[in-house]
Formats: sequence, C-alpha cells, structure tokens
Amino acid sequence: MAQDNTLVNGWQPVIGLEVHVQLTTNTKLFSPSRNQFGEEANTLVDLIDLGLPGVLPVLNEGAIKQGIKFGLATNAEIAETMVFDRKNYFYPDLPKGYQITQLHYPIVKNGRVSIEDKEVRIHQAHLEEDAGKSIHDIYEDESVIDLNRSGVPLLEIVSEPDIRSAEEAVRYLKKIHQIVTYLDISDGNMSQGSLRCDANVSIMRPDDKEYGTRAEIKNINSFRFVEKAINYEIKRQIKVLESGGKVEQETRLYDAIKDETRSMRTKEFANDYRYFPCPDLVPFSISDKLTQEVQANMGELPEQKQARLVEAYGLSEYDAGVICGDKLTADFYEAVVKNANPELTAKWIIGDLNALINKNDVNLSDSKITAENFSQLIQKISDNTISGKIAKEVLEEIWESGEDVAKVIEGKGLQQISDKSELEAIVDQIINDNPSQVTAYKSGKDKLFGFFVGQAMKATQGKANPGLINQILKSKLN
Amino acid sequence: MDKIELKNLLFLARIGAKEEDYPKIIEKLKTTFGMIDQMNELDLDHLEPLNNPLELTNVSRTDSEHNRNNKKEFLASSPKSDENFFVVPRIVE
Repeated sequence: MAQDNTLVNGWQPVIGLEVHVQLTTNTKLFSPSRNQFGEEANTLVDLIDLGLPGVLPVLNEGAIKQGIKFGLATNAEIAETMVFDRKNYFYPDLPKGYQITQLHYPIVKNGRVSIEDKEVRIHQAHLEEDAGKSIHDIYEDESVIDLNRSGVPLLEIVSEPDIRSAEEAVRYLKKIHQIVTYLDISDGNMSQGSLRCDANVSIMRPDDKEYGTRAEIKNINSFRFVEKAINYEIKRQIKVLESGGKVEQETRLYDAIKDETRSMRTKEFANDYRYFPCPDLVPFSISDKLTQEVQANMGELPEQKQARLVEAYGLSEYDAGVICGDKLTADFYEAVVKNANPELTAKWIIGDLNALINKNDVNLSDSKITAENFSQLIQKISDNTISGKIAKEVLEEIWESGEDVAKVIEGKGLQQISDKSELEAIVDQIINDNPSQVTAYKSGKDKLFGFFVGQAMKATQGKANPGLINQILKSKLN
Repeated sequence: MDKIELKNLLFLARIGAKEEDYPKIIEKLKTTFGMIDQMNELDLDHLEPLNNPLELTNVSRTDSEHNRNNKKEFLASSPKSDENFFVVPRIVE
C-alpha cells in the first residue's frame, strides 16, 4: 500500500476518478433527437427528453456499440445482460425527476489501463443519460433551462481507488481521454463538457488498514484543474485531521477562480436516490456476435498507431509516441506527410508547433493551422526555399493569420538566397570590412568562423542559404 | 416509521403535509411497510433478481435521427418560459 514518493506530510492520498464521457452517437440515448453541442437552445428536444407522461424510451444501438468498444479497449468484461435503473432526484434540469442509469448490471466491468509503470483498475463503465443545462446569468432572480443536452448518452467510467497522487490522476485522465478519442466514441472536448470528471479523495496513514473518509469533488473540466483541485483537497483534509477534526463524507465543488473546493450544502441530506430497475426498459443481452462485430470495427488504438508510424515512416519510438499522444496530432501528422518529408514533419510538430500550442493553450483543431498549409511549410524547408530560422518566422505568422505559406514567404520577401554569385559578393564585402578578424582566423582562431557566418546572416537578414554560405566562406578564407 | 423518517420521505418526494396529519399518514404507511416486511420474510437467496416482469429483452432502435422538436409548443406547455428557455426558480449551488 505505502508508496513513499506519493506521501504528503506523512499522509497517503487515495484517489478514484469518475469520468463522464459524452458519446458521439447521432442521436440521444433513449430518443431520436439529434445529439449535438452548440445548437439553438431547446431545439434538440423530444417528448421523451421532456419526460412527458406516457412516452417510452427506446435504447440506442449506437450507444451500446460505443460502450462495448470502450470495454474491449480496456480489457474489461462485457456484460452478458445489462439493465437500466432509475436514480431519483429532483432538479429543474431533470424533467422526469429521475436519471436513467445502470447500477448493478453495467455494460462494462473490471477493466484496466496502464499509465506508464502503473495499472489503474476500472471498476465499471455504465451507460446513462445526461441532464439538461441550467443557466443562471440571464435573469437576476430566476434560472433558465436548456434541454438540448437532456438525454445525451454518457459513458461513466469509474476507477478503483488505485490512484495515489494528483499527478497520477491527471495521467489516468489523459489516458482515458486518449482511449475514447482514438476509439472515436467521444470528441474529448473538455471545455464543451464532452469529458468531465469527479474525483473521490481521501487520505490515510501508510500503515492504516482502512481508507479514510472521502470527499467527492464534482465536475472538474480541465486536466489542470484536476491536479489543482485534488492537491487543494489533500491539503485541506490534512489540515482538518491534524487539527483534530474529522473529514466529512460530502460533495464539494472546485472553484477554479479561488483555487479551492467548497461544500455543496444543498445536497447534504439528499443523497438517497432510491434506485430501482427502470420498468420502461427491458434487459438487454449482448451477444458474442455483436461484440465480435464491434471488435472488427475497433479502429487503431494509440499503441498500434505508434508502431505503424515507426514502421511506415521510419520515426523513432519516442517521436512516434509523442505524435500519437493525442489523436488530433496523429491524424494531423498523417495528413501532412502525404506531401512532406516524414522525419522533418515529426521534428517540426514535436518542436515548434507543439510549443505554439502549449504557449497559447489551445487545441490544434481550434488553431488556424491546417495540414495542407503546414505541409507546404515543410516542403519549403525541404526544397531550400526557406531556412529553418525563417521557417519559424513563417510558422508564427501562419499561426496568427492562417495565411497561405507561399504568400507569406513571397509577401515578406523571405525566400532563401541560394544564388552563388550574390552570396559570394556578400562574403567578399565581409572579408574586406573585417581585416583583423580575417588575419586572426588565418593564424588559427578557428572559432571566428562563426563570426563570419553571423555577419553573412546579418547582411541577408537571415535569408542566406546556410550550407552555401559555409561552403563559400571556407573556400575564400582557407 | 417515526416523525423524522416521515419528514425525510416527504422531503425526498417533495410532498407537503401538515404536521397534525403526520400520525394519520404514519398509520397508513405502516400497512404498506407491514406488507414489505412480510415479503422480506421470504427466502429468495437462491433466485436471480427479476429486473422486469415482461418476458422481453433487447428492445432497441438504430442510431438514426428523427426530429420531433416543437420548441414553441414545448415551451408554452411549461409553467413559465421565455422565447428560448424554460424559466424556473433560482437554483444555485
């Protein structure tokens, strides 16, 4: 149990995550309304989503297949028979007064994922419907409800309490994100709520036999907040216990602005959901034939894609691993290398493009960079139209403007100078202007070679072809 | 069943009742609970739980869209709405 490197002031944090993943089906879990984010409010609503009396939910086969896919990808048991239950609570964005979910017979049980050198067990993953959305900032004294999200299929992935630090929790969540996006069962967009996370956090002494009382932190919507919320909660619980208090079993909300978790008092005594099997839905048996059909259409998992990139493009394991870290980047890479050098493309994605993505904290898909334009950039480096140094400038420009690479190079006059006689004239001028450096170089100060290269680059505003400049300088100085 | 349990039950079901009616309600509920107690005496350990009385499984539909939205009518049928939303009492956690 004890893992000293994860102890905080002598306390062992114990963490389990519940990850809610919005599935990418065309329609909702129990109604034929469209499942889509960002549409006009209350236009993707069916009588079933409204929970009107007399309507009957009918299970979406697309959601079953996506659930099975996840189970297969995490080496889990797929249920022979799954059953839907009602979880009863009153809330304005839940028109029926209950959420249809799976308690005792979930679609997926006993899975596992590896995060670096560690395995995290998945207790279960179950299908359930999302609630509507409450909006509080339109009226001063009232709230409003948008039911477009009501009934959207969710896969709730529940881990065992195998996680021991906030950093591990982030690694686990990134792994889940990677799996569901590779399987194409979720777009993984956390800012739009497609992937949300609750964290169960408790602390214990390393030699304690039983876990401490846990608090549940609700609705954390970014990787960074998962780490901050858990670290805050660990410190809070240590403070409570070390001052002689008791940790309450309660639900807490993470406030990203104040960087703290706080108790959700309204739900303190409402935690009696009175689950029972939903009489409107009959049990569903998953046949081997269905599982095999899903297996045959699994698509490529991250490890498989990585191996293929090594094989097909001669990338190193490391480079292929970084590129396959998320599916967006991997797909982008494959689109770019249709017309560009694979190794150079990898180098530029991992280096300068990733740096821009991190610096601006955006998704590649939300940036102005297209595979086509990036591919052009790599081609211009390959054919010596521009140097690496200038390419950085061009990349920054197309990141900002989305402008065509050829136009940027032409518009700014950034083409590399590869005209030998033009460069020779420049080198002659430098040699004339710096007689003392020339003498010093010729008497053995080899390091001065860099000085001459620098002068040539300065004279051409970095546009001189570096290979050619080296060659001319060598012939003229030696 | 005592007064505190009844209060909790009323809260969960969002049912309002006057305190003077509590004894009457408790009496009525006792018959229901009596029946449940009687059922609890049965030895059902060797039986699979019954999840649905219908002898029917695998009712499902293909994942294809069939739009039955009628925003105007749906909003109008709620106690309070504006042009775009259902309007409800303030609820902030």
